[in-house]
Amino acid sequence: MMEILNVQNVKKVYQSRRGAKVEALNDINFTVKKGEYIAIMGESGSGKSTLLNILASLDDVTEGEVMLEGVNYKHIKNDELAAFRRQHLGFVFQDFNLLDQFSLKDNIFLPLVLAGLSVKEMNAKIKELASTLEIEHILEKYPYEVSGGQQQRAAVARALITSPSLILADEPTGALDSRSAQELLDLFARFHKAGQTIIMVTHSVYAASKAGRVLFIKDGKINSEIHKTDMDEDITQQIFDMQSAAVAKRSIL
Amino acid sequence: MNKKLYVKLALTNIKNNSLMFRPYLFTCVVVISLFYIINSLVNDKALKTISGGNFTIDVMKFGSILFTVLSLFFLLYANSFILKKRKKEIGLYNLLGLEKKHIRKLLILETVLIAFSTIIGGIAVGLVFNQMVGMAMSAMMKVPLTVSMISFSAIIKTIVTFMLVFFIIHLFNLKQIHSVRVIELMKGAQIGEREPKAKFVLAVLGGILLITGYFLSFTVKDPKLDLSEMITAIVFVVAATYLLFIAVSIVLLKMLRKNESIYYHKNNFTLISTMLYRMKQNAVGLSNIAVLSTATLIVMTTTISLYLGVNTMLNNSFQFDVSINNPAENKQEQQQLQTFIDKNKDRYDVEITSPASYRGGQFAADLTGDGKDDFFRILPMEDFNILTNENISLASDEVMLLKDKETAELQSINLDNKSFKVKNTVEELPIDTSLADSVDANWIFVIAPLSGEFAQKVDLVNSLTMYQDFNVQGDADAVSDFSHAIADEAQTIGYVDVEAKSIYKESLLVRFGGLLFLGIFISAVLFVETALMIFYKQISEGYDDRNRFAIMKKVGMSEKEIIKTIRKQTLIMFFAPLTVALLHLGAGLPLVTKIIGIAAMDNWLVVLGSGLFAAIIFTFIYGVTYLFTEKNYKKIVKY
Repeated sequence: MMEILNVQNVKKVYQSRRGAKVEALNDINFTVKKGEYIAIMGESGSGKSTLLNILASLDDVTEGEVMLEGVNYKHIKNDELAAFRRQHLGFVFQDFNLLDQFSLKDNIFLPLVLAGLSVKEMNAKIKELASTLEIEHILEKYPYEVSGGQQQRAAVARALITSPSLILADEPTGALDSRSAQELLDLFARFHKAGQTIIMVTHSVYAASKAGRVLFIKDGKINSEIHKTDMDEDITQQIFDMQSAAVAKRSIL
Repeated sequence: MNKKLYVKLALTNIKNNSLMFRPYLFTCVVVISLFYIINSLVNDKALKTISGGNFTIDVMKFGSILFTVLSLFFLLYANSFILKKRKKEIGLYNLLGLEKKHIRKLLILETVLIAFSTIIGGIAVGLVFNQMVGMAMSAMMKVPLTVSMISFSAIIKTIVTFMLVFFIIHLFNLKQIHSVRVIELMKGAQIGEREPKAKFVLAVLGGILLITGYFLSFTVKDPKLDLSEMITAIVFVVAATYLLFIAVSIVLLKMLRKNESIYYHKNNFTLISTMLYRMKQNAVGLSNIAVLSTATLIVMTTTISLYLGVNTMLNNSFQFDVSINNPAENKQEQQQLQTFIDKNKDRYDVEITSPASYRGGQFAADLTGDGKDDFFRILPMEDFNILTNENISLASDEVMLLKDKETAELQSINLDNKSFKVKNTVEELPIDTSLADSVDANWIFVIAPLSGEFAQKVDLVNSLTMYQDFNVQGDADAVSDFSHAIADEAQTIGYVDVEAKSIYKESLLVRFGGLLFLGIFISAVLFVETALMIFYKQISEGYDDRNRFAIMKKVGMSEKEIIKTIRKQTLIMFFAPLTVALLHLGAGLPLVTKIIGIAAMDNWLVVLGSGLFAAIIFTFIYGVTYLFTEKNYKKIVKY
């Protein structure tokens, strides 16, 4: 299968105001093939948010390269970054990040409007997506008028409407009740089956167990990973083992 | 907790919130220094002694009260913004175990620190600029004022007044803190506000009120008579301004949103929706700004017009440089003064031109038969013939009139149930006829034979007044000195009245100079405070918008587009009220002209020029505020 994302020797060092250097990421290497569904797990402060920001091209690397569909992030000009993000990346956030001033429909349209699409094209794109996500009947409603699960589905629609090469999800189930979380994970599985590449950062063992591959990140490094041989394989126990191993290691230190 | 910790905490709080506190402190210093200056100038001894000086002092005292009240209102407003922004911080203190009474103590300390530093700072600035402002005022009034270096009474007054102001502000702070629960304090900014409903009825009402208000202001003829009409116009326009921002703006924005090809364009999409979303909280604030800006512009235009119009006004009320009058029986005194004039004119290096010497009398009776008394001046036919080198003869029951709007149509006039035929009207008289054009009352100039029936009816012969009008030509200062010398001499001689254009001008300049001075003061305060209000409004929005723009950036909005949107948004929020204010000013100019007309001045060009000048100055200062605010807003939004 085709390689879609290539992360090579990525290092990220933050300089605090007093001049002290903090190493957030160190020597991160991994590749993502087209259509892969990856979960990144790690504790708070492990560097997973930094990594996600770098993949999102919101933050730049100190050393190393990130290439998405053959385009090196370093070579994208600053004023083209936004357009690049719009065309290649879709975001799903923990707290949905829908804009209160827009109806759900307008929230979903936002990236398309920024891309300069006509109303006709936008309407054509939203139709199928809204029915898959079961939000057709609430498109005219405002974010504060619908439930968290519905908001997150609208956010997913916003991420998918540009048909991005890669979906980046940051704790997408974090603010949802278990039923809505289950629904969202089912949706992710469906989109994955349809060929969508997804990278999801999560704390939840259950959410991670739905992915095809799980990367464990600790102290800025990728510690280990679990590969599914078959998407139906249950890797919950393996993830638990990996986590307890990490805890055991820490207690020895 | 010990005292030192409180002081340290209070100081740190002010420092950490410096973006919010700095403009507030700046405004406090400006207001306090202006207050000090105005109160120190009021004590000026020279001002008390000059003609028109007391008027100026009263006006300035009134002005200082007015702007203290205005300032209190604005500082409260600005303060509430700061407090709103700080709610989270205060909630955190509460959560960390500071009781309300500790927080109260902390707030008192902060207020004391702010009061202490701004009062001292304000007085210091006031002391520095006092001399300069005094000189500017001297120049405007064209009188030398002796500005004292330090006025202790003004210092004490400033300290007492502003301690009171800060005390009131503090009370409001306490009330705000008291009524809020910790959990609400912690939340800080609110979430998920519903978008405003379109109110078509109100929007239409706003449009109607605006048009009616403008129409009324155009049709007011005499501001004194049509007072109720004028007030209605003002009330309508103010109400329309509020409706304009509250209802019309939303209806308009919703219409724009309905139009998909406009709305779903990347330049308008976020702009229209954000404006619509924000309008709810902003409408009243924007209306306040528009109304205040209009008031500032009108105050400025009126005072500048009055000041610049001094010469027009003088020429309207004085056709000659000097007018002397005295009862006929005091002819001797008049001749004494005449001798003085003849003797001294060479010494002052001036020439007397176009002298006119005549007799006459001033009376009041209903000549036109409209039920109202008319003021009239009789010029004996004999004196008219001498003055004009003509040889007109009038019968005992005939008169001639000076032609003006009213008298042109008259065939006859009545006095004591007797009708007198108007034989003729004359276009002009070689004497001072400015009373005929007086705005207060139209005087009728009647030419009648001294021994005729008309003169007899008012017993003219026994109440004859002698008039001497003449011009003085020479250097302006010499003319003024000579006029003063004549007036002083007349005072010594007695029974002779002297009115001189240059003396009147001096008193006008003191009055209008004082008014202009005050106008500038009040405008300055309004300027600073309007700017402050806009600044806080925009900045507090910046904190709300920060999150919004962060999301948009992730969704694929470039920094350039974000900056463009921010600029457009701030530009509209800023210049919408200004545009409305300028529109109001334009519509109000005819009314201003008429109001100024009460003061015997009706030069619309002067009013237009003053209006333009005020508009340019205001727009300039407004623009600077805009740039400053936009810079800070961008800083906030771009995290």
